[in-house]
Amino acid sequence: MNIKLENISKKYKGVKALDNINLEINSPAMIGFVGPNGAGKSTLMKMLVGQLLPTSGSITVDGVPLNKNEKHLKERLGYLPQDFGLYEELTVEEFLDYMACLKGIKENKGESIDRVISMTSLEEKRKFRIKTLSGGQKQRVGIAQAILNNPELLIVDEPTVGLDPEERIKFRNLFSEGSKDKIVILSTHIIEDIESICNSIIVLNKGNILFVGQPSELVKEALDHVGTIEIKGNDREKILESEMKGEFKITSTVITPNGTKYRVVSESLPSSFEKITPSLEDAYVYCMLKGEVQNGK
Amino acid sequence: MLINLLRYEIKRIVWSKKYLYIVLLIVASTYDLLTRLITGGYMGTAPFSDWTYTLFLNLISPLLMVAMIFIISNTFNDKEMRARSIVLSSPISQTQYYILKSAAVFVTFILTSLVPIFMSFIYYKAMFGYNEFGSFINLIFVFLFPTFIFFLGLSMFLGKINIKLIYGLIPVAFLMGALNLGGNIIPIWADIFGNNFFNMYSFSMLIGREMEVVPFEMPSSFIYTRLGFILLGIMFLVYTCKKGEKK
Repeated sequence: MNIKLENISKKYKGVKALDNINLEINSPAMIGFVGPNGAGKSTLMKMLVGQLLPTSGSITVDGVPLNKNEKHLKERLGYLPQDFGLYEELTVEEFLDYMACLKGIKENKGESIDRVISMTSLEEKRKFRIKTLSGGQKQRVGIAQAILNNPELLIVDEPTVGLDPEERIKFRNLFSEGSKDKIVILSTHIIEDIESICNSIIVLNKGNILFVGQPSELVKEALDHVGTIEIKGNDREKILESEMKGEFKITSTVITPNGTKYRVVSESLPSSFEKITPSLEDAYVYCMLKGEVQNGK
Repeated sequence: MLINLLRYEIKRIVWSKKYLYIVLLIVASTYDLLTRLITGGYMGTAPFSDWTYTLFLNLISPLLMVAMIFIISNTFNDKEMRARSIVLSSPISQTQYYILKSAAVFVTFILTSLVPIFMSFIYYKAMFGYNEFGSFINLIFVFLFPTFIFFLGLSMFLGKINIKLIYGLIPVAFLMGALNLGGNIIPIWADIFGNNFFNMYSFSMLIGREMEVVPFEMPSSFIYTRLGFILLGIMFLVYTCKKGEKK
């Protein structure tokens, strides 16, 4: 599958949610969308599934414009939006059967339902009405319906919200395994999720793409821009002041026997800081910082 | 596949406390109407005459219609809108989605209408030993169905604009049906329930009548107006199905 976005912009009441986005995605791929709230991640995802129209630009799927090829896309799509509802009057099994009918699964429907119930550990709850489930269990039903048709394109927006750490790891691996022969697009605030499974990362901020590439490339860009410093006593105020001025961003604060140890990300790291190898989280912060600097903020 | 989807949609409507309360209200209201107003017959006709049965249909239909509009509001409530983002990511089109929802409400309407209809049949059989219900079927089709199709289409149309408009329609529909009983308050062109016609027709035919039994023969002009309401309802539905929703 090939998805191509050319000069995509989206305006809501005069405010640009997406600004001239250009992107090409080919399967197989496991892509992570990251960015702060309001960066345009969900807007971009809704456009990719055909639920939002761009104000300008074009989206093509396998070379055909999306608006003429929507059925082709939706037959191959699994989608879990960030904020979704389920038919709570139905049981888990009934809801998945309902979704299987909608997705046009005719052959081995029962087996497909059993498979996703097992993958999402909902065996004990399959006969329970959805309204009786906890938030995390509902999230798992959402994931189950998304993978029900073994989609060629899986788009999941904040899929691990409400899941406990063990479940998060399990679903991360599930998405990763699924990306062997398909496109999986995952939007999240949790950098750790991206770091563990994504072979490609897209950083978005204020409707613009700040970075597209491998996580290791993003980390490479942040080399020499991450450092630590241990501060004693009153010098604490100085470092906090510097952060306020935007000279750098503190990514971690650890109280030590000698004072406070700060981990910072900066466009130009002061010589008093000890340079360290950046993590993906540091690299993300650096990317955001650089984006702000480029925008003159 | 479609039958399966329809089955689940109907289950979602019918298998709820809301629907149970609606049915209980209809049962209580039907019982009250039959024992208090219908048992004496309408304007000197028999309680099981076509005249009296039409009065019964006119009395019960505001409640039935309001119940249906209330059920239709579920198609546009917050819960459904949140589920729609998942449902519409499947290959189902917007038109198919609304047809599915409308079909489910239509079947629910039939099921719900059968409650007062069967109650009335049982009542006639038990009280008067009367069981010739064939002519009532015609009246049910002429008085209940066009009103329902019109409100189904209108509610879908309004709901798509804003759910608050459906909530606003509920009292309006009830008052149009309930206030107009015998009063001719609603103008003839807006006689959605057919009770304006019924009042005028029954006054002209039954008051000062010479025959003991006056046949209830609906003029073709009335039938055409009923067909007109069906057509209007379908037009509203088609508009709802076709009008794009993407922002």
